[in-house]
Amino acid sequence: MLPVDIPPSPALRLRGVSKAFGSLTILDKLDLDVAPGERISIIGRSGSGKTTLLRVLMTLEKIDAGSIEVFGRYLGQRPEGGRLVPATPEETRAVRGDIGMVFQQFNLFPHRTAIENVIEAPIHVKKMGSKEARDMGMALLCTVGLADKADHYPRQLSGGQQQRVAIARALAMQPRIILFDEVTSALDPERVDEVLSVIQGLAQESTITMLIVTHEMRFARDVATRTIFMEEGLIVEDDAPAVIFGKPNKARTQSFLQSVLGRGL
Amino acid sequence: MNFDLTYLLQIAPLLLKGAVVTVQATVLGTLLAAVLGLLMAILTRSRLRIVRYATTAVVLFVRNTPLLIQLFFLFYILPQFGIALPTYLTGVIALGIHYAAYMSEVYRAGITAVPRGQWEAAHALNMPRALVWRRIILPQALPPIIPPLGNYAIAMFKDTPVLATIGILEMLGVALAEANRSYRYYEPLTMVGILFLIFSLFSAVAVRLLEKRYAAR
Ligand SMILES: Nc1ncnc2c1ncn2[C@@H]1O[C@H](COP(=O)(O)OP(=O)(O)OP(=O)(O)O)[C@@H](O)[C@H]1O
Ligand SMILES: [Mg+2]
Repeated sequence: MLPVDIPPSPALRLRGVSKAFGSLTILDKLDLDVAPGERISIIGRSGSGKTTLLRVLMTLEKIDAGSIEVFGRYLGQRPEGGRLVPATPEETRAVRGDIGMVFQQFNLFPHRTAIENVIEAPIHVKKMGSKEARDMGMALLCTVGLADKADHYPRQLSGGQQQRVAIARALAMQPRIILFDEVTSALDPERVDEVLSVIQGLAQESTITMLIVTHEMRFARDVATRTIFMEEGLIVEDDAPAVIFGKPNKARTQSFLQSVLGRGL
Repeated sequence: MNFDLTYLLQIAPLLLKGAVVTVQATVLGTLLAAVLGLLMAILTRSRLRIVRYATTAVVLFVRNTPLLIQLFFLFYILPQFGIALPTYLTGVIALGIHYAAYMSEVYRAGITAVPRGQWEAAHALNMPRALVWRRIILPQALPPIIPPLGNYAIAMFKDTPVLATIGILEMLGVALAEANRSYRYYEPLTMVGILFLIFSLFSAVAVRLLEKRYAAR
């Protein structure tokens, strides 16, 4: 009896996840399975619920119905006898620790230097020693190409640099899943590539599971192992990037891509 | 009636002793108000609705009733419920609670000014709420509101004469006691007014300096 046939639990398993703001349904009974190591790009029109999906996974929003499992553990609430039982804050925090997020607006802590931003949570949440944390933080800043900016405050950094620090900060907590929400949308056009290539590098060198919401279609195709097209809170199409960007099966996907791409990538 | 300088010099040490009590009460009252006010501001953002509502109600009540009544309540009525505090402490507590309600609004403004993204980034790093308050939110919320908090400290200072009504010998109390003894009001009261003016002006300058310093960021 060897435990060889136990399938690994999925990184994410969403079942019937719904979210409404008032009478406006944003996520409509969403089902989604994500295997460990998958990189999923999520595309869709403005207002289709992409950000909300990520925020729900980060527990920044509560869901109205359904369930979310992260590596086999329920997040926030679990179904029990047809009802949703809320988890204790401690349980939620334990599960949430598997997930990290990078925001459109960077959200660096302005009163902390780049390195302090990166090591704040490892030291105070994970209780890592400050020497150890600093070494790890410097290594991460090195990875995102900012070792020389470690002691700069966010206001002394360009948008692209701030976003790279934010990526290092998220990675410092060693999440198994990382969420990117339009991380280049707030950047000057000439700063976009430096951030995308950091994410590309991460994709190449790690097996971390990624969910990437982006309006950069070429990036969405190239970085991902799988692409999801969302519309009105629903997953309309979910396939390999080559299919979605090559010849999508759904008319709605086609018309969306036509409207954003025009002549092509 | 003419102003008698010799008499004034004679009672000056007495009045200065009163001034010390006034300043002391202001400092202690401000410390209490600063701590209580912050607590109130944090509680009005509690995740528990009942805590939020209760705190808001307390703040509203304290802000909309006169300090003098609150002082009398603590001084005359609390002892009937078996809570008898030393007079001086009662005075400091009344000042502290009254100004805490005002300061809590200042804290609230400072806290609200911290962008929501800061809370969300901290949440995404799995920081527990107490840690988020202590290391992320308050360090950003406090510096800009130090000057308005200072202004409330000055306002409290000018309110300290109410303490005379429960027999605390602060500046006005001392002056009144002296006046009642000598039947001379002119010099003691003038002196008290001047002392208040001097202290207030100095503090206003200090607040101005704080404003400059924190505006520079
Ligand atoms: N806190 C909120 N309260 C009310 N409505 C909200 C809230 N957050 C989002 N919405 C609404 O939900 C809808 C979906 O928003 P969401 O941000 O998920 O879309 P999106 O796909 O990320 O769009 P975009 O591409 O513009 O970022 C929008 O219509 C938005 O106005
Ligand atoms: Mg969005």
